[in-house]
Amino acid sequence: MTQDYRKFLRPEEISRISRLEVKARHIVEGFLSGLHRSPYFGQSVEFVQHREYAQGDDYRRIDWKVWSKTDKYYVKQYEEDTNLRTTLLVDLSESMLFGSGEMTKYEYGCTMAACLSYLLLRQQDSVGLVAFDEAIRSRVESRSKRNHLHALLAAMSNETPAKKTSMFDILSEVAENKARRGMVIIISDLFVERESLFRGLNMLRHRGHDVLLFHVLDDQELDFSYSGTTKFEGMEEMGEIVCDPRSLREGYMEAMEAYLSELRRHCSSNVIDYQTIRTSEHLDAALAHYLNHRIGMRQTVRN
Amino acid sequence: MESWLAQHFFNSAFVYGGSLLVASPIIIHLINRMRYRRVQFAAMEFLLASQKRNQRRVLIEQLILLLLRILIVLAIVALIARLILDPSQLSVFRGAKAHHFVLLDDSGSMQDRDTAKNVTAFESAMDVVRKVVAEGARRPNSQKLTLLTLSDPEQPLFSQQTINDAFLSDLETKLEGLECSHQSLNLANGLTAALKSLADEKAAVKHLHVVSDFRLRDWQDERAIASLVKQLDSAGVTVNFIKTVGERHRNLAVTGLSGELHVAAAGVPVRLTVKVTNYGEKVEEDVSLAVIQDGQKLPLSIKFDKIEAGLEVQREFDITFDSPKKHTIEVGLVGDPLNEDNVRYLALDVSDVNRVLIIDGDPSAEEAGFLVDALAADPELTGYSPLIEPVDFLRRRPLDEFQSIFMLNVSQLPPDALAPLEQYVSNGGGLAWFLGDVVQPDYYNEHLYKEGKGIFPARLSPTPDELTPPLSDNPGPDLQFGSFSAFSVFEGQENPYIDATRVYKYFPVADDWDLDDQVRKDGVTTVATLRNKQPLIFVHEHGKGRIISCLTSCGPSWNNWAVYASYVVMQLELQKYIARTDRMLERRLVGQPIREVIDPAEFTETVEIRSPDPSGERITRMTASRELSSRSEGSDGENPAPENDEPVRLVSTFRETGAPGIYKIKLLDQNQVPLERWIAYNVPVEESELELAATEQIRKQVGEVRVSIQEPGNFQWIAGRDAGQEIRETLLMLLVILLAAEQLMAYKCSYHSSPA
Repeated sequence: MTQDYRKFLRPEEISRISRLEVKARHIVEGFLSGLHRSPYFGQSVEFVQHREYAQGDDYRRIDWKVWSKTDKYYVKQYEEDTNLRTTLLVDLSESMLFGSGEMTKYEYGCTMAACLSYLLLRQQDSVGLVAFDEAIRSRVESRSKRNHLHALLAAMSNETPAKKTSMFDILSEVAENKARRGMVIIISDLFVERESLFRGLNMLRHRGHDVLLFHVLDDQELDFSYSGTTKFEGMEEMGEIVCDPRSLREGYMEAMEAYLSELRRHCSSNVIDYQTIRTSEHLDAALAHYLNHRIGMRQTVRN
Repeated sequence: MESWLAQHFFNSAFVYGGSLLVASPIIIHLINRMRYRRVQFAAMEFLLASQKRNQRRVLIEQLILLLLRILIVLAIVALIARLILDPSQLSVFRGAKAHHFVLLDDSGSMQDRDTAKNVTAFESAMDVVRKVVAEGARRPNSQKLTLLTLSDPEQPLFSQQTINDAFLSDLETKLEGLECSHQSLNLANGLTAALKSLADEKAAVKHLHVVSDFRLRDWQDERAIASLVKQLDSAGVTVNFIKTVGERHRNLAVTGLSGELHVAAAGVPVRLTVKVTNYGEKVEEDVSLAVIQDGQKLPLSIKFDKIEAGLEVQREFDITFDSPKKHTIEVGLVGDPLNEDNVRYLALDVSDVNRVLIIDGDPSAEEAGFLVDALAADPELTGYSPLIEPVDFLRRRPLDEFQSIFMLNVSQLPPDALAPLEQYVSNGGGLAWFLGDVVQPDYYNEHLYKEGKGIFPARLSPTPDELTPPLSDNPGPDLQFGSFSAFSVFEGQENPYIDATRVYKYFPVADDWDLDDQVRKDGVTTVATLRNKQPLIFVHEHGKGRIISCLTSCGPSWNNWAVYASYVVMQLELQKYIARTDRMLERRLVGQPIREVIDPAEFTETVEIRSPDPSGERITRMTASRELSSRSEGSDGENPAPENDEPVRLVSTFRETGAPGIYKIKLLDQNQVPLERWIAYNVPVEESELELAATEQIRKQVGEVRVSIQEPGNFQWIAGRDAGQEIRETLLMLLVILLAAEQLMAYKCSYHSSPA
């Protein structure tokens, strides 16, 4: 079991994410914490600095060890715990099993979810997980403890993609169950019925959740560089076709671009962070791309 | 089907295999449709949408691509199998049993030598014949050959000979002995013979190969040739013109050698005129001629500094013959590609003296003395021997020994004198009339003029007339000369002697005699008139002889001409003009047969002919045989008896007169005394014109009839290797276009990642 879920958080990914931590910290402090961290120093685990006591300070925060050495009163200041609650929604439908490179979209999505979980837990945020296909397959409640990561990884590794996706049902259920506002990160290839997807996303936004949409796609799905006579067998019961893919590429690319444009347009109009992620991209590059995008968008929003 | 393929494809066997290859693009396409890889794909929604939208376009593109690939295979197959649109371009030896009729041009121009290859056009033509037969021998006993030379179209060298290895050796033997003629031949005659031979032949495929140099001159009679070619085509004969000369070479020719041969006498210089023509396209410089007399080169150099292209130049030179006998003259060029026209031959019979008879009506013969002085003041200088006699001489002595007869102031002629005189003139003798005071005009009009049928040219008025003396100081000459060769020395210059000549008295023509030569049209030409426009001197012909008639006196009785030097010139020129020419040695063009008609009562039947030969002279002895008269030709029996009223004649014909030079015919009379006659044979000047007829010109003149024209040095047509050349180039271009189109189409139908 350990080996199974470890596959989503491989040492190289952890290493990369550790390097990301500097940037992630900046993001968390600048963005996530900007929204959720208390503007005051409070009682927490993380010591930040000493400050000379001033009238009105809580006596309980006086560092008596410093008083014994210096005969002056100093209070200890800590980072206050955040109250960000993040829910990761990972698509486990059959289409996520497609992959032309080293990783399938499913593996990439789970790895991405693990990385985000690790990052968020490092920041003491609470992270929950919902794995779904046409229904919720597994659910892990939000926790902020570091050992909560194991529970998240185990939940993902226990599932195998097999069925179709019913996005509206899933998103509405998540919205119903999350009483407190938080962040919802959706990792999916989004090969779903569009209307239900948009309705589900709108519902989350109406409930005050901040929604991040990671659209995971394989290179072949984006470039469609097949050649030679090929029989395409559709996943999720989408039928099959024998063709020369080169002759259909232009039409395919047009249809795909139209879909992506529609997604971007809808997300932009509903203040939803949307990012297309190629499975060939490294996760750190994908996350950096996302975080950069996130900063830019938020700064624009603030201004 | 098989025969059609054989006619339209050089390698028809490849067509069958190639036809199967046409299916290869379809098969490959179907196999590709059946052999596919499986891919489980998630974004099927978009793929299905694309397929639905592009289904028709994709289908059309696939069909076009498939069609292009099929066409590429077809083009390659057509190239390998050698598609031929025009089946006549195929080798003439393919297919059914064929009759090849080869017409070999052996005219004089075929001796034109290509100095670079050192081969004549005729040798090239024989090479073509060898190659044609050799190709035919590769399919032994399947082809027939008839070989005909243009010089003898009625006598084929080979007639419908089956081509095989044995025939090859026979042909080689025949060709080795075949020589090109020097004649000017008409291509139409050869085509007529070919048409006559091939028209009735219905069984075999018929090919006519005309092997010639195709000079422009040969195509002058274009309508006759075009008509014959059309008839040949209608008769199912494939006409094939094979050119043996690629370019026009330079050519100089001696085109004329003539002179006053009829008055040649021993010891008297004879003036000869040689003409040289430059038939080339460039100026020829420093052209030298050598003169050979009786086989000995004379120390005489005739040189032309420059002869412009296309122009004829001439030069006069004098030769003196020491002895009175037959002589030969040969004038030749050296170093010209066409040797045959570089030499011109002449034969002449030089007399000891030329005898002239002068009949003077005046017994004192005073006027005859002036004439004798003019003609033979020094007989060694002029070569004339005049004899003054009264009118009776005409009755008593034969006249044939005289070259010409002068009649001075003769009143009338007795009948037995007139008859031999008329006979003499009719046979070619020359006659000159000079009038005087004893002339009886009535006799002249009745017995000599005879209404234009006699030996006097005009009807005279009853009495002589005096020319009115000039009124002014400068009245102009009394004598006015027309265009006449004998008086050409008096033309175009001021001659004080002619201007000073005065005519006092003359016989005018009768009033009803029209003065205008063009109106009368009686053959009489006025060559000199008087100041008062009355005619003075006439020339006309009677039989073979020439007659000059002067209406004034010969001596100074009626004019003062005899006291001036121009009188001598005039009389000598008149003598040359009227001197009999029937005894000059004959001149002919090569190819004309020598036909000797012998009176067996006078000569034996043996005829010996010495003809020119590269090794010297060739002697041919023939026996004359009795000629079949037109009336006896239709009778039965091998030796028809001659008609009683028809004299027996023996005839001998010598046809081997193809080479230029002097031919000597010797007969023996019944006393075994030889009589020799010489004939100079020369090449026709037409064969010296080497300008070639262009292929386009030949096609244009032949008209709409389809003929094959083979360029010189190209023998691929014999094996048909160059057949379909034009469609091959088109196919290659088409293949390139198809390949480019296929690549473009395939590129368009395929995916290519952009560099970005």
